Amino acid sequence: MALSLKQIKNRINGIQDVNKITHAMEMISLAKLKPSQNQLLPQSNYFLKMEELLRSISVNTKGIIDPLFQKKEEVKKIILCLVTSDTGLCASYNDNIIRFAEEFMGRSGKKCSLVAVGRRGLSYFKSRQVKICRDYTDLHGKYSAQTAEEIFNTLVNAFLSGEADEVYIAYTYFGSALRHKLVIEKLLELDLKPEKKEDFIFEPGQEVILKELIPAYVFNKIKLVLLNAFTCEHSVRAIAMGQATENAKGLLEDLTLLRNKVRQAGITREILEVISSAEVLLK
Amino acid sequence: MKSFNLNIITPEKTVYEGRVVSLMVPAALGYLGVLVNHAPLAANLHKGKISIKKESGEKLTLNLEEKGFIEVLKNKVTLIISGGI
Repeated sequence: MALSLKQIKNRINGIQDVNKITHAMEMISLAKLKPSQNQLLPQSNYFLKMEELLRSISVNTKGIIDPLFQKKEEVKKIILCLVTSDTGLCASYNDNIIRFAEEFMGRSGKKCSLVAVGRRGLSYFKSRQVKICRDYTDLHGKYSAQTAEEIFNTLVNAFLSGEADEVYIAYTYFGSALRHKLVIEKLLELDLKPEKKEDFIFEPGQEVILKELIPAYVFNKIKLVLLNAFTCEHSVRAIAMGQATENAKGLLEDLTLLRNKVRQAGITREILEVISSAEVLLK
Repeated sequence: MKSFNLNIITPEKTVYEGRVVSLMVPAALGYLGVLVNHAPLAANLHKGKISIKKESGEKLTLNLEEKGFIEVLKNKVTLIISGGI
């Protein structure tokens, strides 16, 4: 009760402002979440079909092995592509995936360099002397085909040139608005078990089809990963901001109560003073 | 009339889903027709026109402006196309 009436009023005003901001941010995140989710669903459908096709036609390749399928004999250097967000205020979204990636790097025991998507992951690992190959920032949770293309080129070139013997990708998988999963997957070399269904006729030829299908597959994998991560980011932020708004409301209620009590106490005290001084004068 | 299942999907949406009687697609080596009980086939698709004849006899033509793939397997045909139609 040490606060004066003025101080309490100031705090109430401050919290009201914060409340407005967090509420607006919740609305923005919700608005961004919807299109992101609408993009994610057909993309994952598309990707699954593509994977199915690749699985069924990569049997009996008769010695044709695409370099992206080629397993390196000795794995010394790996690249980890880490997808985080650019800005904070999304609860433990970034912390979780960063911690998960750090654990993975420690566990692998290999020389690990990083391709960072998002400012948060970049700044965390930069200060910890991890080699950063490339970074892609300022996406702000919006998928861009151009950036996806660049990431695709960087990762594939690093793998083909031998800069990395394996390429992994770390992101948050979007199961539903409340179910997110941290995932680290091997992107390259492609580790896809062929599934023989039928003897296919190929037109123009198996090799030609695979040559087009494999890069398209890897690219769409990256696109799917980005969409998953961005959708998660928006949903986590919407929830975090919603909670902040709730907290602010609770705090406002408490403070309003306190303000009224302090005001009431002040009035009571003044009346007492008036009465007692009147009594003195009457004597 | 005998029909088979056709699915046309792009990263944005499912363009077509349903049973059809015949299908013509622009494959890498020229137009390719698919009827019911076609042998298993995988092919690249190029730009061109996709012609569909539905069970009801209704005809539908789609403009394909991007590359894609076709998979024919046990009376299930899937067109995987990289962009909008």
